[in-house]
Amino acid sequence: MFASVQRCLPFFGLLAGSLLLPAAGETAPPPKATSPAEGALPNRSFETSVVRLINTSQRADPATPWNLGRPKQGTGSGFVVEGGRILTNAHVVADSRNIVLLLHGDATPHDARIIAVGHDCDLALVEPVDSKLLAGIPPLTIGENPNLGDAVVTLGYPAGGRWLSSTRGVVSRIDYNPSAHSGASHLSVQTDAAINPGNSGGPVMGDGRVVGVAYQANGGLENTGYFLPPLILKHFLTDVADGRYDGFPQLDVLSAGLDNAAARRRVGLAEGETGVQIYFVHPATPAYGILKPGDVLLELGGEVVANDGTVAWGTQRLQASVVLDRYFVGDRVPVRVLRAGERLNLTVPVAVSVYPIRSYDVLPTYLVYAGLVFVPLDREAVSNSPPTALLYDYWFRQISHPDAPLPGRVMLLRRLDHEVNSNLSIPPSSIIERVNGKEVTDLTSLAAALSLNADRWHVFESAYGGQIGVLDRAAADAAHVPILEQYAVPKDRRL
Amino acid sequence: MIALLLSGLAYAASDTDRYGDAIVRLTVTWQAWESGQPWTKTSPSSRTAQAVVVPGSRPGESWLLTTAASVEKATLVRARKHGEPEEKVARVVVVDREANLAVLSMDDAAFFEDLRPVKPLREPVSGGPVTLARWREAQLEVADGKVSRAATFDSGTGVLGYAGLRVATDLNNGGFSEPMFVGRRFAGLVTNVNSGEATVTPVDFVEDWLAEVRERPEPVAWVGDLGLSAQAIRSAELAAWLGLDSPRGLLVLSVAQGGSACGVLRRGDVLLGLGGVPLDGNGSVADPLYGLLSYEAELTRLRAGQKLEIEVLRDRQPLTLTLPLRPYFGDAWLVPTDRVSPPPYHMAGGLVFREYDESYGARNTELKLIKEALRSAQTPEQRRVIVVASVLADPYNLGYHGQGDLGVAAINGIPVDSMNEVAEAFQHPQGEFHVISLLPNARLLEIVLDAATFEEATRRIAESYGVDPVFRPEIPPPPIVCPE
Repeated sequence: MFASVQRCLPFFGLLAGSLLLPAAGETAPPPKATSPAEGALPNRSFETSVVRLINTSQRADPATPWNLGRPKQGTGSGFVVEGGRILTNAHVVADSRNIVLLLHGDATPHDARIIAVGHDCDLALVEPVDSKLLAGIPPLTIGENPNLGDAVVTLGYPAGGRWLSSTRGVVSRIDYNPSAHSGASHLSVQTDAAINPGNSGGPVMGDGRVVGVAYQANGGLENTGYFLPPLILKHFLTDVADGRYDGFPQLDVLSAGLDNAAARRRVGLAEGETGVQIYFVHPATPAYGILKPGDVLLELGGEVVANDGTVAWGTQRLQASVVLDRYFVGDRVPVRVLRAGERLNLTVPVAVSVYPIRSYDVLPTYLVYAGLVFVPLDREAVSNSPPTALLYDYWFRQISHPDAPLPGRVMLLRRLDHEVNSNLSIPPSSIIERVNGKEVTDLTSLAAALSLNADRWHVFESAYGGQIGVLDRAAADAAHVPILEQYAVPKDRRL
Repeated sequence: MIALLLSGLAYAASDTDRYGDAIVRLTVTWQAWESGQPWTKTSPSSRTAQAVVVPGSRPGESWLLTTAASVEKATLVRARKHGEPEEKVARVVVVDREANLAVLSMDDAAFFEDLRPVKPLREPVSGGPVTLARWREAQLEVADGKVSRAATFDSGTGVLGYAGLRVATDLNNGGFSEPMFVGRRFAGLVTNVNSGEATVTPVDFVEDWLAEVRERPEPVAWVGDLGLSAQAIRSAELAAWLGLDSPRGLLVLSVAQGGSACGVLRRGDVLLGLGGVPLDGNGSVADPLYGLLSYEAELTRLRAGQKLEIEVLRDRQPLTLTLPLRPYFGDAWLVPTDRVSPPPYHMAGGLVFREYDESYGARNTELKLIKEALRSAQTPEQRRVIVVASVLADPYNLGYHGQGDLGVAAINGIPVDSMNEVAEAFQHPQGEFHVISLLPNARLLEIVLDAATFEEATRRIAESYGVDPVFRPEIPPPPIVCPE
């Protein structure tokens, strides 16, 4: 079972990590007269390459998407890599309005800016605005993927502290975990070295080389921190080398294990042959039509897939989709399938998942009409214990329609109460299926259905249960601007 | 301590005179079916409840009246009257979960010799003071109360709501059929007590129900229901769009198969009135006794079997339609309400099949998602949803261990909607295999089992896990036919 759809589902597995959200702005008074003078720094150790980042971020309130949110300041870590750039976590610099960079042992803040962000893998590249700032600071070298039991040392600025902190531990598990930042899963390494808020983006060192970037921890367990290993770091750096981030590819297929002997016989697997049976290929993916429901996936990217959907990974096994971490968007991944008794070698072009991750750095879209607030039904909308109907619609409806991608959906997020709308019978968090008789698939089609209506009434029909809401068009039009003013909505839409 | 006891005794003595010979205490041993292992029952438990003496169906016969909740899932009901140490066995005559009422008879008719029936209050209960009474150990406990309002509330055991009273009281931990009195007259049964407020089924409802049951002392479904999903017409705009001059009535969204309105009303109709009584914009009607009641609650004041005239707006044209008022019929829904009868199931090759019902579906999000996927109403072809509830791990079903809560579309290519069909479908393997096709989910497309070793594996697993029998058939619900 390796489908990416599966692991995205929020209710099918514990999210392993909680984010190492940047700690709140520093509060401790600066120690007196202990700052080492310039030039007195230790001049060879990799400590000098570890920096502190202070990000002022602003994230729009999902409940009032026109409200850009309260600015928040947080700190994280980063380290100098080749090319005079600093590698850190995406979540350290997400939704940024301003970034300040502090060098090890230096009290002067420097302006910094983002070069590239990969939210799905939770990595980012930043650089100082002053291009000479990092001259003389040795970049850290990214090493090889560590093995179970390897000794590691973390470096960073946890808990808002101004000065570098180091902790020590071992590689306690190699795993394939969803990122708390994006929900996307990647190869991930667990360590017992203390990883705390503010460590995010800091290097994890082994034998003088970077073996990872600390990115999340599991608050419910003891001594359980996670870092992203070199496979992911190098993938990200290679991806952004052309100045554009494409992301990690996914297959977006659903498959079922074949541990049962009868099930293996039925699909025609030979004695000793293994694989998993594909039963859904998302119709919007490049794999659609190449991989087919019923295919038994024997090999993915040259790796033999076991009956439980795992592949050999070093001395252990991981979910087969970890293989995709080796590929780039646009690559053609070799697969071997068993179809109707024939073993076929195919290549499947891969792209980023059709299920978008949670979005950052972009302002949420919305449309307000006569106090009714509409938003797209997206990952954000279903990420916070939504009604079951929304979960079903977002994750499952497509599985029942395997042959064509379903159009998007719009939901009524809430109502800005006003006499013109207060009797509307459609409750908040309802999917709006039709407006004035026209199917609504996104905010643009909703805006058109409203503006093109010349009838006396606006008629809204919700999906599931099918309640009908009616507004008097003239009265709604007249109330539209006063409602925006009363509720301090600067613009009625961001499409 | 002694003084307290004495004063308690003195207090109880006078009330015993007033109510004691009409109230008995019930001890109910009850047991529920294990939802995940439908061949077993949970550990037996017991509850105490009150009952009042009422006239039975034959001259000279007496019954005990209590709430359906009091005798729910009972394996044995015993009654004990004041001053007697011995409990006598009581038999359930009729239980009506929708009305939340039940009557019991005593094997030993002599039980009633020194008891007398309660005298029902003849006029509706108004806002005055009331008394709630129950036996606690050997003493009668009475608590004062005051009717605070009329309200609509859930039956507690069924699905519908009906009209009743809220009573402010200092009675603690009640809700098991404590009788309410106005003066010495019986005025209702307490179905629930919460934070100093008792919910009371009023005597007029109880007496009407008793009259019906006396005439036909057999299981009844008595409370009427239209079987509608409808939307209140609260806004002037919606009303005007529908062609109404003001917000009133209910917009019909869907009509349940087998319900009273099946074949009479359809989506888009506006229900404007019941028997000449208009519905307001909340779908409520003015009841002469209780004030505004939801139309569902008002229907509970009518009896199944009666003809009901309804006023409807269809395509902007007013119509008067007549329908036979049928009882609420939980079986009419694709996902039926919780059942009290033994749940049908089938254990086949370690897979535990059972019906999807409301209480089972509430167990987790995945099950709730199955319901979202099946929003369509029941059809003659699909009356129920079958689920693989769990898998009893065995080498035979390796690969499916730990699976469960999966909706079943078909077995061996045959769509199944009852337990009998599940069993039948396993008689027709697809070649060497049994193939269980599943409803859309994110884990499995189908479950494949070896057909040749199926019987043997089922026997072995049944023995190992103590599943006996492996099959409890379902008595299929009556065919659902809507008159055209």
